[in-house]
Amino acid sequence: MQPLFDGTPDLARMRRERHAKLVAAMEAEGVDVLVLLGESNVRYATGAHAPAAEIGRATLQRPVAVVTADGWAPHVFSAFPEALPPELPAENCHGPLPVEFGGGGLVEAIFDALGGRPAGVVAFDEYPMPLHAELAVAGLSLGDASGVMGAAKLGKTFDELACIREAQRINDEAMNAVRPLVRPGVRQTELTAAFLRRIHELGIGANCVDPVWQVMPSRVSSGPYSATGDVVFPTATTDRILREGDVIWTDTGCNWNGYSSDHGRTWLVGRDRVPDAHQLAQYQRWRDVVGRVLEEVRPGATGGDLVRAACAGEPKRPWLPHFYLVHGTGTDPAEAPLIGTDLGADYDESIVLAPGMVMVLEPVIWEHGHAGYRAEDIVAVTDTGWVALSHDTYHPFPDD
Amino acid sequence: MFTAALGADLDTKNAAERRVIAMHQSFTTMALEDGPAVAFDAVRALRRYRVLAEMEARGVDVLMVGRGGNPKYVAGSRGLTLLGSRAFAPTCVLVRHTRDVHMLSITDEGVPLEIPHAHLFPISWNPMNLMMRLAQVPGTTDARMIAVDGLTPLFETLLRNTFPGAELVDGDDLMRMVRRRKSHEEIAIIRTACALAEAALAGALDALEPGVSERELLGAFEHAMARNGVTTPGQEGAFCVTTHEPADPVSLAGAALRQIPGDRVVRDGDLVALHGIVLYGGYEGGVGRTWRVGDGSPSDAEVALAARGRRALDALIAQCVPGRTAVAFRRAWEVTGEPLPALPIVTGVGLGMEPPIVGVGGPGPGGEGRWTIEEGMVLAVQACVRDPGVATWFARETVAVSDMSPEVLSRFGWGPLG
Repeated sequence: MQPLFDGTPDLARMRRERHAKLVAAMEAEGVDVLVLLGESNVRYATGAHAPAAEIGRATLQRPVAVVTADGWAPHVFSAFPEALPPELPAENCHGPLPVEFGGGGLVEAIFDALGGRPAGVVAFDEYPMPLHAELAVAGLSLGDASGVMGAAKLGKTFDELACIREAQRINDEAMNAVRPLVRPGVRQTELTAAFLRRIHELGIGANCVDPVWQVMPSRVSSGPYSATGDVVFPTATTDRILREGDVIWTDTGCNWNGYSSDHGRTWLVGRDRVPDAHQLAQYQRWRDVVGRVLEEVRPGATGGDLVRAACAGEPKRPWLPHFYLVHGTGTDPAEAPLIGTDLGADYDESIVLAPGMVMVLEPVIWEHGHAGYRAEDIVAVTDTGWVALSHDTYHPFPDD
Repeated sequence: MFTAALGADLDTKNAAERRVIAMHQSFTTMALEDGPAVAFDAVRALRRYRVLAEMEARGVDVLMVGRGGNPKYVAGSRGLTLLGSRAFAPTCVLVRHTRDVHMLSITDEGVPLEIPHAHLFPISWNPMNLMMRLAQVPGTTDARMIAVDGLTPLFETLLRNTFPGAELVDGDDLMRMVRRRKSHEEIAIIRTACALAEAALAGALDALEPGVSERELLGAFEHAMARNGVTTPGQEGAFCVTTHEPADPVSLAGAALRQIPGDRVVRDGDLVALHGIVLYGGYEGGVGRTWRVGDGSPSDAEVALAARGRRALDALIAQCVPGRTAVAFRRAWEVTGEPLPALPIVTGVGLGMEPPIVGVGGPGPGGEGRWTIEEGMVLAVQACVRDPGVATWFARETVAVSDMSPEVLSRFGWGPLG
C-alpha cells in the first residue's frame, strides 16, 4: 500500500487545481458560466465560505460564486471578507448578492461582475424563488450546474485528501476525548458538550452535524417506529441518561478547510465494559464485510463489485436500506460516489472507481435481540488499491 | 394574542392542547408534573392554522417546502440538525384540502403525534422515488397551484413533469408572510432561547482570560450550551479580538467584524466581540457584547467607543415599534452619524434567522421599505462601531415588537466597558 500524499496541504494549490478541474468540466459539459449558491459548491469553486449556521441563517447569508469557462479568476459575492481566498483579485470580490430577496437587480449584478451579458449556457445549482422569477424573463440559456460540479468533485487532489485526513484526525482525537466520559449516568448532551469543545480547541473549521450518540434497541420493535422495518438510525440527541450496558452508535462529522470528516463507532456503556460474545461476533462480521469490500477496491472496480463483496455470505444487504454501503465525502459530508442506494443495481454498476475517489464505508450488522455493530472507515482509491484516511481505534472492540 | 382568536377554528378534540403558556415557567427544562413549560403542541397547531389560512388566501392547493425553517414551521418535527445551506428538496408537504402534513422521515422519533405513520415517506436518493411518493399524497395530483419554497434545475423539471396540471408558485414568500409575526407562545420560546444563549455566553466569559484563543472561546460557549441541553447553535458564533484589527479592504465604509473565530490568542487589555446564538425548539435566541480582557481599567477612548455603540444600539431598539417600515432602522442609524457597518443592523428572529434584513446582506433601502414592522415581530438589532486607533465594538439584542414599548428579550451585563 503506497501512501498517496504526505505533508500538509497547500491550500492555494488546492484551490487552483479545483478551479482548473471545474473549467475543464465546464468545457466538457458545454457550460459557459456557472452561478453557484450552494455553500459546498461555492467553497469548492472558490474557497469562499461563511460561518457555520443553521440552515435558515446559512441560506440568507451565504456567498455566491460566478465561474467562467475562460479560466479567469471567479467572482465572489460575500458578506464575509475574512473568508475569501487571499489570491482572489480585489475586483472579483463583491458585496453580498441578496438572492433571497425580490425587487430586481440580481441578474444585472451578475452581468455587471462579468462585464456584460454572458453568451452561451449559464448553469445554476439552485434557484431561490426571487432569482427564479428574474431568470424566467432574462432570456438566458439556462443549464444545470450539478453535472459540472459532480464531475469536478469526484476525484480528489492530494491536497483535498490531506484536508479530509486532517479533518478526520481532529474528529478522531475529539472522539478519544469523549469516549472515557461514556459511563452510566452521563447524559448524551454532555457528550456533545465535550465533543464540541474539543474540536474547536483542536482547530476545526466548523462542526457539520449535531453529534449522534444513539442508544440502540436490542430489537427493531423495541426502538422507535420504523417505516422500512429496519433499525432506525440516526436519531437526534437528547438529554437521555446513559445506563449500564447500553449499546451506543456514534456519528459525528466536522470540517477542516471545507472538507468533512465522518466518524462512526459502536461504544458500550459501563466502567471497563467489554463486548460479550454476540457483540464480538457482530464486530467480526463487520470487519469481514469491510475487509471483503477493500479487497475489491482498485481503479476499474465498479460499485456493483463492492456491493457483491459486501453481501457475500450475508443473509441480507449489510447496511441500512435507506442509506448506502458507501458514500463519498468532500466539501459535502455525503457526496458521490453513493453505492448501495435506492438508485439501484444499474447505477451501482455504472460507478467505476478511479484514483482520488474517497469512500466512507458504513456497513451495519444487525442481530435481532442483540442490537448490532456499526462503524465508519474512510479510504481513498490509489493507483493500485486504497489508502486509509481514518485511523481511529475500535475500542472497546479489539483492533486486531 | 392569536390563541384566543384562533379558538373557534381549531378542532375541538384538541381543546386540552390549547393551553396558555405559563410564562414564568418557560425557563425550565425540568419535568413539570403540572404541565410542560412550553406547549409546543399548541404552537404547532397555531402555526399550521396560519399556513393553511395563507394558502387559502392565495389559492394554493399544496405547499411543498424544504428550506430554512419552513419544514420545521409546518411539521414541527425534531430531526437531526445539519449546519449549512442545502438546496431545495420537497421534504415536507401540506395539503390544503385535507389539512394533512406529509413529511420525509423513516421514523416517528421526533415527529409530532398528529402526523400519523402513513404520512411519513422514507429518505430516498432516487428523485423518481421521491416524486412517486409525492404523487401518492392525497390531493397532490389534482392540485392546480403548488407552492414551493425554492427550486433546483432537477426538481423544477421533475415537479413540472409529475404535476403537469399545476402552476408552481412562490411558497417562500407565503411562508415569510406567515412567519413574520410571532404568537405569545413563540415569543416565550425565543425568550427561553435568549436565556440559554446568555448562559452559554457566561460560559465563554469564564474562559476569557489572556492566553485563550478565539476558537477556545467558541468551544467554551458551545460546551456550556450543550451542557444546558442545546446541541445546535444558530451560528458558530463570533468570538473575535477586535483590538488593532487591520482595516477590512473590501468594506471600507463602516465597521467590520470578523465573524469566524481563528487561532488569534487573546491578550490582556484586548477588546473581544462575543456573539452567541442558540436554537431552542428551533427558535433563535442570541446576545452579543464586547468585553475587555483582564483586570485593567478601560481607556477613555475605549469607554467613548462603547458609548457610541450603546447610543447606536439604543437608536435601533427605539425603532422596534409597529407601523414603520424597516428602512426606519437605516434612517435611525444614519442619524447617529456612524457609518453603516459591514453587517446587518437588523435581522428577523424566529425559526432561525428570517427577514427582514436591514443593512449589508439585505435587499437595500428599496426592499427595506417594503417590510412593515408589526406587532409580534422579533428582531435582532446589531450595532457595530469602530475607532481605527482603538478597536471595534459590537453588541446585539433580541427585541420583541409589541403594541407598547419595545421589549428587549435578551439580558446581559456590559462588563468592564460599562
